[in-house]
Formats: sequence, structure tokens, C-alpha cells
Amino acid sequence: MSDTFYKARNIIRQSLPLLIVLVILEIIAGQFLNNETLLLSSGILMLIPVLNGIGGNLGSILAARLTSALHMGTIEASYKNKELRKNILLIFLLGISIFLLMGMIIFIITPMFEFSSELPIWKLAVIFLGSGLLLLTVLTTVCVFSVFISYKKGIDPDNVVIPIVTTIGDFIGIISIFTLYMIIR
Amino acid sequence: MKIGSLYKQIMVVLFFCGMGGLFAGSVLEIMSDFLTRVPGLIVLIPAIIAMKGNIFTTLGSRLGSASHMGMISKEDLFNKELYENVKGSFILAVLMSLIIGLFASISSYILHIAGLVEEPNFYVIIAVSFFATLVTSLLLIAFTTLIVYIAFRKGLDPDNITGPILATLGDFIALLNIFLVTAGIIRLAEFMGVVI
Repeated sequence: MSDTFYKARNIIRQSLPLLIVLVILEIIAGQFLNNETLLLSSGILMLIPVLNGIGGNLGSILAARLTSALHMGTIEASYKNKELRKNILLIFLLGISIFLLMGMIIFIITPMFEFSSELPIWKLAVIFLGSGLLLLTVLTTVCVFSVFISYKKGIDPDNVVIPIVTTIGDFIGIISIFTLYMIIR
Repeated sequence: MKIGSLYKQIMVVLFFCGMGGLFAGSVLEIMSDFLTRVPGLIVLIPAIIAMKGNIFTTLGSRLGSASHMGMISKEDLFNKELYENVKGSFILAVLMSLIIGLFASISSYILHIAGLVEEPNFYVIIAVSFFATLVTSLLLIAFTTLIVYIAFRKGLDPDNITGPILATLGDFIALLNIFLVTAGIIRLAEFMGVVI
């Protein structure tokens, strides 16, 4: 054995169980996409990395901000307070503007690809913005609850909230796209 | 801090992340032909992207902590501490790629028996998961180390830059490798006269 602070064996042992649980959720989400008509519909695949990437970022930013505020004592673990509301407002403003902006860029880009089955661009818009809004609401709720609950239980939210929030974000993002696609295609 | 200035700062990061997502999404659109040709391949994609994110952002943040604790530094970067960190992440990624390949094909097979999806090709799915992760991991390890090295040279805190850079580039790199490995396997099968 080496005499280092970090040991590959410990890194693997500590990470593997959580990674396996998270991967099972991702595989279930992936199965919702395992559908030939959805795969061949124009633009749907393009939405997934954008929605998941932005969702993961928004969730991580809110989680990091709430956790730091708790550690510094600027907010208490209570659902009625001004700082918390300000943070939630910030995340909603950011989320709505980035989804609108990316939405516009996507609609300029998608016609550049060739597709075997066409989905009208307005339907793609409804699917993207609808999923974005749904994702934003669920992420914010999950984030606030998981930060407060882990803090009250004496677990450092820094270690658990971000993996939970990004995985739930991927899951909800994919399922919203699938559901809205099935409803309005 | 005022909401206005926070909004501006974070919006810039989100914009770059969104553009990274668009590049990744474009690779997926170009791949859609393969995704219907190899049933079950799509199931790998959210899992590989999320796993790579979890493993390599934690590598980045551990290297940041290691630099704060003085275990790696500008003068002494390529040492045993770095090696153990890289080794741990690499083995983890390879193990997870096999687990993802197995879970994706078994779940697709169960859904196939239930009549919901087409029969998955076990060998192709596991091979794509394994080889795409192998190449992606090597590239991301090189990238992460390079970012830490450049951060040291420029006197920056690695904690502030590894996360956003890996998040923006990582998805694109992973998807590109899945695309290239699948194309390679399909070509190889055609060459050997095997039907996929």
C-alpha cells in the first residue's frame, strides 16, 4: 500500500454505491426515450442535453447558494424567510430567461438538420418551454427540501444535494419531454 | 449581493452551458440514424453522461482540495497523490461502464419480452458503453490535469474553473465518443460480414 492521503481503493469504495443507485434512475429515464417514433422526430434529441445541462446547473447553483447561506447563518432552515424567497425568485428569473433564449437559438438551428419525420416547429417550442418550466418548478422544490432536510439531520448538504438534484433533474427533464411529446405530437 | 448583478454573472455561465448542450444535442441528432439501427443504444446516453459528470467533476473538486491542502502544487503536480486520484476515477468509470452496459441491455431485454421495445443487441451495447467510456475517461483525465496545471501556472484557484469547463465540454466529448465508437463497431461488423 502507498502512504498517500488519497487512495484509489477508498475513492472507488465510497463512490460506487451512490453511483449505482443514480445510474439505475438514469437507465429508467433512458428507457422512456427508447421509442422509434420519438427518436426519428425532428429536434427532440437536440432538446435533451440542453435541458439536462441547464437544469443541472440551475439546481447546483441554488443548492450551493442555499448551503453557503445556511453555513454562514444568513438564512435559517425555515421555509418562511426573505433570503430564501429572493434566491427562489433569482432561479426562476434565470431559468425562464435562459430557456427562452436557448429556445430561440434551437429554432434557428434545427432546420439545418435533415429529419425523416417532421415535427412542426411550434410543437417543438411548446415541448421545450413546457418541459423547462416543469423542470424549474420540480428542481426548485426538490432542492429547497433536500437542503433543509439534510441540514436538519446534521448531514452536510454540500456532499449530497448536488448529485441528488442533478439526477432528479435529468429524470424529470426526460420524462417531461416524453410526456409532452406524447400529448401534442 | 443585488439580484441584478447576480443575474448577469450566472446568466453568462448558463449561456455557455446551454451552447455546450446544443453542440452535444447536434451530435445526438446526427446520430439518430444509429440510434434506430442499434435498438437500446439510446438508453446508454443519459446514464453515461450523468456518470461521467459525477466521476470527473468529483475528480476536479478533489484535485482542487488537494491543491488547497498542499498535496499537489505548481512544482509538484505529477506525484503519487495525483496518480491515486486519477487511478480511482479511471477504475470507477470503467466499472460503471460495464454496469451501465449490463443494466441497459437487461432492462431493454425485459421490455422486449413485454413487447414494448425491439430486441437489444447485448454485445454492441456493452461494447459501446465500455469503449466510449474508456476513451472519454482518458480524454477527461488529460483535460482535468491540464486545467489544474494551467490554473497553477496562472495562479488561479482550480476549484473555480474545473467544474464549469468539464460540465460544458464533457457532454460533448462523451457523445462524440459514443458516436465514433458506434460507427466503428458498425463498420467492423460490415467488414466481417456480421449482421447487427
